[in-house]
Amino acid sequence: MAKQPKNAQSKPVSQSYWSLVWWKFKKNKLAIVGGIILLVMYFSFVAIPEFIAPYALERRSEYTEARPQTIRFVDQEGKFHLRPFVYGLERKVDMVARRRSYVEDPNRVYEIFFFTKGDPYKLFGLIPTDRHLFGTNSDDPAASVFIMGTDSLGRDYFSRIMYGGRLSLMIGLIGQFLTLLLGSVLGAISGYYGGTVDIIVQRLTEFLAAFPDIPLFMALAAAIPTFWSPIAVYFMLTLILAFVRWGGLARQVRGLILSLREREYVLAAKSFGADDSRLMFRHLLPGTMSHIIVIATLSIPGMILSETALSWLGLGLRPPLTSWGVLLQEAMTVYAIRFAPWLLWTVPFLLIVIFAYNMLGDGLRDALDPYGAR
Amino acid sequence: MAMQGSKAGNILLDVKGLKKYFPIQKGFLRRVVGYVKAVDDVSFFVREGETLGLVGESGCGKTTAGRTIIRLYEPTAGHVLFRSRQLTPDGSETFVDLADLDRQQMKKVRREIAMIFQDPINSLNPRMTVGDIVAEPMVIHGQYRRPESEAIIVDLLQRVGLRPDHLRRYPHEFSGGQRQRIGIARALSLNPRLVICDEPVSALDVSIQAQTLNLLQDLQRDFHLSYIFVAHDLSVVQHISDRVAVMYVGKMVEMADAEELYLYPLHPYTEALMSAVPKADPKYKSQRIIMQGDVADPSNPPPGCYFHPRCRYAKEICSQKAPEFRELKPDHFVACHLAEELKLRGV
Amino acid sequence: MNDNDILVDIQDLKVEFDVRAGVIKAVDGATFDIKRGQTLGVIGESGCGKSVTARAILNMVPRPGKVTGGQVLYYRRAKGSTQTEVINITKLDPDGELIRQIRGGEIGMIFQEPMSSLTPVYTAGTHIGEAVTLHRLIPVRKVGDQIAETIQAHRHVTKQEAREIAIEMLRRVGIPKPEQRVDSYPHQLSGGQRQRVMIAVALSCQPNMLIADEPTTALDVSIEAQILDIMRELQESVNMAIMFITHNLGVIAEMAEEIVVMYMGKQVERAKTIDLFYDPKHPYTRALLQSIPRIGRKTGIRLASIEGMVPDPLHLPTGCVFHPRCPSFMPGKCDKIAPTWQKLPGDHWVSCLLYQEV
Repeated sequence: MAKQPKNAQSKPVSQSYWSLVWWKFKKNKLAIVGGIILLVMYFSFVAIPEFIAPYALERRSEYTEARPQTIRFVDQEGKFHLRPFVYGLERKVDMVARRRSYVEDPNRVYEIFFFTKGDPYKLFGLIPTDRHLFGTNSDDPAASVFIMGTDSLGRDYFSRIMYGGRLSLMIGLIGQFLTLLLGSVLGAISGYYGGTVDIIVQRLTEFLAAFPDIPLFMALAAAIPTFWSPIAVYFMLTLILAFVRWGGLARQVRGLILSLREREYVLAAKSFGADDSRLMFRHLLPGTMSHIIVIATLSIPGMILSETALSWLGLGLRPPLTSWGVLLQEAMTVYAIRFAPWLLWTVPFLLIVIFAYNMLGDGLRDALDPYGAR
Repeated sequence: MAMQGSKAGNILLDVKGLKKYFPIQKGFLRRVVGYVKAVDDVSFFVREGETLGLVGESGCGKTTAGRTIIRLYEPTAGHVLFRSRQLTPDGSETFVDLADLDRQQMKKVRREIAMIFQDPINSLNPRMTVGDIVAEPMVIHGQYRRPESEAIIVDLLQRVGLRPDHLRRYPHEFSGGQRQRIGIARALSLNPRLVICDEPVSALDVSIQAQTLNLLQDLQRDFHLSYIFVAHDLSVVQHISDRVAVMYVGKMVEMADAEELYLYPLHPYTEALMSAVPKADPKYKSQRIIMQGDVADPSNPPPGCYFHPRCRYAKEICSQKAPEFRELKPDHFVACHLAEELKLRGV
Repeated sequence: MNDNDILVDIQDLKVEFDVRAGVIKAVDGATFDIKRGQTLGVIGESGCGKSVTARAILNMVPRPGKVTGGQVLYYRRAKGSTQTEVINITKLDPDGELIRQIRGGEIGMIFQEPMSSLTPVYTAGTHIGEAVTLHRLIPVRKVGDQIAETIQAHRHVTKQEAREIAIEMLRRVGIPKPEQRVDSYPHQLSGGQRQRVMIAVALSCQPNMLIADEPTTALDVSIEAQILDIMRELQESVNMAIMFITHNLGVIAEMAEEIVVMYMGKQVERAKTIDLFYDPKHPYTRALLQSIPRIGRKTGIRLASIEGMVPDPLHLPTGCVFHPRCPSFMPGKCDKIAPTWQKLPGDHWVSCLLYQEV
C-alpha cells in the first residue's frame, strides 16, 4: 500500500538517506572523476611518494638547475626503442651571459627501467626497501632521470614535488578535520543552547573574521619557537590554520541547528523525554552532517592554498620541511622564471587537486538533497 | 483542591492558572521590551477516559497550552496537576505538579503522557526507519529489548493499520495519512494514559481525516486513553470530543460538554464562532454573526475582557474588568460578565 | 443571475505532467462550463486535478505540465455590447499580449496565501501588475502601489485615479482606515487582511469571472466567514461568475449553485448543490459526504471512511479509477470498463457504471 518512490525498482531497495545520496551522487560523472582523481593523488603523494619518486628528497647532484630530460622513444637516428630512455646531461657554459646550464647530450642514452633499485627508504615508514617506480638502475651519477629538471642544488624537482605533495595535501585534510571538529562543536552548542554561550561564540567568530588574515598568521607563526622540530612546527601550523578558519563553519552549523531545533520530530523526541545529548547526536547533528561534509570538502582547497601561500611567503613551513608552497618559493624569482621555468611544475598539480575537490564538492552538494526538491 | 465540576469522575489532569509568556527582545543587547502572553491564566481539567477538545483560532494559545503542559515550554506560572503512577515505589497513583518536577521525575512521567503532532512531514525524522521512530520512546526510557520490543512495535503498526514490512522503510515512502499513523504508533509505544493530539488531522485530506479520527477513537477504547484534542476545525472537534474548551488570545472563555457547548453557548465568542462555521448543508440558512475587526494582539491585549472590542453585547464593565472563569451551569464554565443575561444562539 | 450564457467552456481538457518516473495524467477529460454570473464549485481532494484545471483556464499550467488534449473556450464580450468573440485559450501564446489582457482584466484569480515569498509565480519578465494579478504580493513594495499598477494595467485610468480606486476597494473588502493602509507593506498586514487585499485587487479590475482556488483554507473561521460574505456581496453587485475550488464541503455548500466533483483527474459528478448534497449519485460523492463530521447534535455514529488509499498517479487502476475503493464495486465491470459522462434527469450528470448500460 505504500506509495512507490520515483526511483522504484522491482525489488525493494534501501531508501535510507545515505543510499539515496549515493545513488544521486553516482549519476554525476564529474564528481566521480573528481573523487577518483583525489583518491589517486592522495595515494600517490601521501602513501607512496618515495616509491614513485626516483630520488630521495635531499639527494643532490652536480646538475644544478638542469632542464627536464624528455622521455623519448625515438632516438636521433629515428630508431624506435621499446623501452623509454633519456639523454644524459652535459654541462654547457655560456661565456657571454656568464651562465652555466645543462643540456641534453644525444650521445648518451640511459634507458628507464621500472621497479628499479634506487635510494633506500621505508615504505609507509615501516618496510625498508629500495624499489622505485622508475629509474635508470645504475650507480653512475651521470645516469640521471630528471623528468622535471632540477633546482638550484641539483635536486630532482619531480621527486621534490612528490614529497612536497604529502605535506600540502595532508595539511589540507588534517587542518580541515580540526576545523570541522572545532566549528561543528562550537556551532552546535551555540545554536542549541542560545543565550550567553551563543553570544560569546558569535562575537568570537566575528572578531576572528574581522581580524586581517596575514598579520594574524604572521604573528602566530612567528610565535612558534624556532627550536621546535619540523614536525612540531608542521602540526602547530595546521592548528593555527584550523583555529583561524573555524568561524565560517561554526556559523553555518549554528544556522542549521537553529532551524532544525524547531522541527516537530525534535520536539517529539523531547516530549518523550530525550535528553540534550540524544537530541544533539541522534536528531540534530545527523541533519547537519551532509551540509558539513559539503562545506568541509569545498573548503579544503582553500586550506591547501593558505598553506601554500604562507609557505611561499616564508611564513609557514621552511626547509628542510618541503611542501608545494616551499617549492614555489624557490621558483619565485624572475631569474627562475626566465631561466628555470620547470620549477613552476608545482602549479599544475595544485590546480588538479583544487579542481578535483571542487568537482567532488559540487557533486556532494547536489546529492545532498536526494528527495529531489531542488 | 482540584476543580471538580459538578459531575463525578476521576480527574486525570488538572490545570490551574497556567501561564506562558514569551519575552519580546529588541536591540543589540536583547532587552526585554514586552511579553507575548500566549497562555494567560488558563484552567481546565481532563477526566480519565474522556476526550477534551481545545479549540480556538490562530494565536489563541491552544497549541502552546498543550506543549506547556508537557513542559516542552517551561510554564511561566501555574500548576499542572497530573495523577501519575510513575513516581511512587509501588506504582500507586498520586497527584504531582508537573510544573514543579525536576528533570528526572519529569522524564518518568513522560511515559504516561504522549503527544501527536500536526505536520506529517516534519514530525518524523527522515533519516530514521519507521521501526526506529516507533521504538524511540522505548529506547529513551531504556525499555528496549531486542526481540520482545520488536514484536510490540510490529503489533502497534498493525493496530494502526500498517504492515510489518513497513518496519524498515523510511518516512518519505509513505503518504501523509500513513505518516500520521506512524506518529500515533510512536505515541502509544509506552502505553500512555494521556495523549495530547496537536491538530492531528488538519493537514490531511477529508477522506483520510475520517479514517484517522476513527482510528483514534478505536485506540482510545482499546488502550483506555484520555485525549486532549487541539484543533481549529469545529466539526471535527465536536465529533471526537466529550467536552470542549474554547480559547481566545491566551484565555479560556468557555468549557462544557460538547453538545451543550455547540447548541447552548454562553460566551459571545463561542456564539460567533459557531455561526461562522460553514455548514455542509445547502438548505441551512446562514444567519451569520460577523465579528468585526481582527483577532486581538497577544502582546498588547485590550483592557478588561480581551474580546470586548469585537463583542456585540459589550457593556462598560467589559472594558474595565477581566471576567472570571466560573461554573455557571453544572459542568459548564464561562468567562463573561454578562453570561447570565445573554440569550445566545448555538448551531 | 443565470442568463444561460456560457462564459467559459472547458471541453475534454487533458493535462499531463512528464516526470522522471513516467507521465501523470493530472486532468483527464474535464468537461464543464461556467455561465455568466454563476458560482460553480469544484470539489475534490489532493491530486484530483482541480487546481491544474483552474490554471489551464488562464493558460498557466506550471512546468512540467502541458495541455495534451481538449480546449478551453472563452466567450468574450466587450462591456455593453452583445457581440461575443470566442477565444480558444489553450491555443494562445502563454506570454502573449491577448492572454495578458485576459488574465486579471477579464478572468481573475486568487489563491490560498497571497504572500508565499519563496516561489514567485512570475518570471523575471513579468510586470509587477501581473504578478499581483497572479495573486502574489511582492514583499518589497507598498500594497497600494501594487494594486494601482494592476488597475492601470487593465483599465484606462490615471495613476491618481488608480490610487483612489485602490482605496475604495480596500474599504469595500473591510480593511479599516484604507487611506492609511494603502501605504503599508504586505508583511505589515495579517493573513486575513492580505487575502482581502488580493480579493480587492482581483475585483478592482472588474473581471467577468473570478477563479478562487482554496481562498479561505489558510484562514481562521471568523475571517473566512467575512471573506465569503465579501465575495458574495461583490459578486452580486457586478454579476461576476465565480469558480470556487476547495476541498471543504461546508464552504462549497454555502457558496456554490452547482458543483463538479473531481477524483484523480476525472470529473465524476455534477449537479446543483442541493441535489448533490441530498441526492448524491456517485459512490465517491456519497462516501465523501458521509465521511465529514457534522456539527450540531452528536449522533455518536462512526464516520464512514473511504476504504483504501488514493492510488499512485503513475499506476492508475484499470477501468473506473475509483473501483478499488468503491463500496458498490461490480466485479467484471468496474475494473474493465471506464465509465463515461452520463446525463441524468434534473441537470445531474455522473460518470459511473451504476447508471450506464454496458
